[in-house]
Amino acid sequence: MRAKAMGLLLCLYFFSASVSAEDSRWSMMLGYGQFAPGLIAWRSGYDDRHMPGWQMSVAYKPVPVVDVGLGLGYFSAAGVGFLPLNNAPGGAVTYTVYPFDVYASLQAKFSAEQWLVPYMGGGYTLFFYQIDIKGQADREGKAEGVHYNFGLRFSLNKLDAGAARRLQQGWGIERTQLIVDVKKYDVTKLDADLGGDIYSLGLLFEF
Amino acid sequence: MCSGGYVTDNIMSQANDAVTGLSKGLFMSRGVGFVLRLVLALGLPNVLLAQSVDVPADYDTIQEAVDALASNPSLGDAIVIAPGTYRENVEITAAVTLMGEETARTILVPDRQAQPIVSISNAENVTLRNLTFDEGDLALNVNNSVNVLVSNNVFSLHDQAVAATFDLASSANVVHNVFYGNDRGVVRQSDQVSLRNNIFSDNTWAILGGEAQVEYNCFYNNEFNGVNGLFAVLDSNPLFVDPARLDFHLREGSPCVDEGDGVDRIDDSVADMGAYGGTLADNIPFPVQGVTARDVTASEGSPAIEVSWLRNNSYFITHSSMPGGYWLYYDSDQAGVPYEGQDASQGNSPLNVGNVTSYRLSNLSVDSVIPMSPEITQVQPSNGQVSVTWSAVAGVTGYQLHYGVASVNENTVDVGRELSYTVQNLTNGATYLFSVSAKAQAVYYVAIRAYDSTADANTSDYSTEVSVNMGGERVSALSPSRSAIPELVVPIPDLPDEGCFIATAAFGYYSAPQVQELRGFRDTQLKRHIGGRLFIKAYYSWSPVVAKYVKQSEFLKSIVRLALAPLVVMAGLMAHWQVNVIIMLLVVVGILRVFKLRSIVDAGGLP
Repeated sequence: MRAKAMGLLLCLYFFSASVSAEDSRWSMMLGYGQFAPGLIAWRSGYDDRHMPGWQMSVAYKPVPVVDVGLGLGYFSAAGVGFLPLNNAPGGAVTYTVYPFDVYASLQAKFSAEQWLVPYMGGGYTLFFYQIDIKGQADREGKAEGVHYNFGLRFSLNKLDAGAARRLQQGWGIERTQLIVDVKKYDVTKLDADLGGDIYSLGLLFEF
Repeated sequence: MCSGGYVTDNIMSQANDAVTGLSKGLFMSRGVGFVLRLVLALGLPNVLLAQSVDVPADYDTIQEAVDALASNPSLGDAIVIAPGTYRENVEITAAVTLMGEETARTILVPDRQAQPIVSISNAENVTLRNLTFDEGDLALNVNNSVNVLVSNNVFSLHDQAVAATFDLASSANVVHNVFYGNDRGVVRQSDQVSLRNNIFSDNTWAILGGEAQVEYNCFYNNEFNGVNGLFAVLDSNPLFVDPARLDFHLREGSPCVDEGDGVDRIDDSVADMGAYGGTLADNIPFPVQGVTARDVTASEGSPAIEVSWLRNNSYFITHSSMPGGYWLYYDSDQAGVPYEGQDASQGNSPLNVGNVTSYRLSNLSVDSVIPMSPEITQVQPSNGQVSVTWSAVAGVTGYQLHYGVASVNENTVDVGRELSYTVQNLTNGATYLFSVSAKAQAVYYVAIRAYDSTADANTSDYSTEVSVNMGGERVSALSPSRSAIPELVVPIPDLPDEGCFIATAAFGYYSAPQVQELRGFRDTQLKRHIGGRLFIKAYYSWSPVVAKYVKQSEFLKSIVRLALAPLVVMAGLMAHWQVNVIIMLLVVVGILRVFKLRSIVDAGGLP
């Protein structure tokens, strides 16, 4: 399985290596997403299955089809804790996570003007958490893990060439892309599964 | 929607104004115009059937009602505004009547301060009546509009404000208004704006512009009257009842009583000047103020309460030869209208108590029934505390929460009428029992209304209600008890606290005293202010990243420890001393330092 995946990546790289070098090397992504924690006990403390939040990342292209970058997210949910002696839920708890990612992604890109670009990637994650408990001391800490992601980038430049040109002239933004991303975190701390899936939608600007 | 009763009122008023104008030989052209319009109006029966819309019953805002009538004339041509404060800038461009139900309590204030509260432009046949204009820099602005009637309003803005302006192309009748405490009362650019039966008091300028069409007005304490006109009352205090409460009724002895032109709707006498004279005056007295009630059972010898209130000083009520009086309303079963008390020996509610300002209700029935027990619906423990919630019981005056470890009778808390209470400072891990009881006591609710001395005995709205608890308390049986164990909340997920990220990384371990000092600073100082909370939020978003690198480098650790040292010291001081003491000390040290430097420089010690 691992060999097949590696083969697929190499093929992608081989075919897309023919893409000519582009002017834009740097990119920045801003997105809104929903984090669905993988924790089994999650639903007993929080009504909502998801934690809404934001993500941003900055990336550099060492080669035209590979992005290497840093990402930071913010996701928060309010709920209740657990009272062991009473064997009942109780207390007001706010759980916030800040996933910090170092990643690389490979794009299935075969021409510079390709309007739809699938991609996949992954990397290292430092998962910071903060737990506010009403009437008690707060808790904060971190856990390490990995993440994998895949998604699609839709080039918006051709939809409104005039706006794209103004962004290029005024702000140096070469391309604007709508990005749909699915990211899976594999992070544990003291046997607690802090990972989960993030579904996000954002805009990616290439400079 | 309400019926068109106001229309008859309006037409009769205009007819009266017209007849008066004709009989005096003044306002001839305008009077003929009114009569013609009157004839035309009376010749069209549907006018008498005209409808009006109500604000806020039919439309939330006056402007919405104005727009609705302008776009759909079949809705009517008048807007009746219920008592209340309306924060709007109303723009009128078509025929309409804006009428307050009670002058003193239908208050228009601006949404945009510098804009007119009401502006009328390019319109005909607009009437503004029985309104109070408060606040704002300009109450009324009339441009290129004819046949505007401004009647029985109060303009009390502020000493930099203009009450009403009329441009050269506009014609209007400004009758029976009060202009009080403005920079300028009326600013007009032609004599097509007639001013009659108004009171101008405490303005810088009363009237600016024009010479004619001014008569039967009262002027008092203005820096400049501008134009006095004919039949004016000059330099006599109009004796308003209470300008601070926007009550511009006249007191007995006012020089403006029966000195106007025309007749009064309220008492059928010669018209008063001001907002409560003439045929369009609001005849509802101002509500009674300052109502209090107290239990006087001890002095009376039987259950009794004494109700007192402030006198309504309108001359319609205090009239020396034929005064009005007050209605006293009471009830012991429930608050609010209709007040159907029957147990006082003085009679059933309401009682006509005459022209007094204090009254006793005696031989009251203060027996109350034992209330039902409430039921605890939820006990919610957390760290050192338990929140208890229970069901409401009808007719009770309060609840008691009972709790304890061995018995619920160990502690009792009176919680008023609240339906939940959080007991704090409990011992974690101990099982507490909770129970609730309800208390009942006779409560008397009282309100006062004033009525005037006219044959109609016009009556004010109810005063603010007051209540008195009477007799002994009856307490229900305790509710079935519920137990709860206060304890530390375990969050989901149950993750450990690794402390201040950067400080922990720099000082090596979470329990380091410096880390704890900074942690205390965060919890006791920063979290108290919004700026501090924002800082904490921002700190937690970026500090973990920094902490990771600090942790791996001895060089960075040393740098951060040095940088944090002043903050640690400051945090320690602030944890034990008041912030202002520290700031004062720093200021004193700074001043001493400056003086020392100066002395060195003066002594030639520094180049």
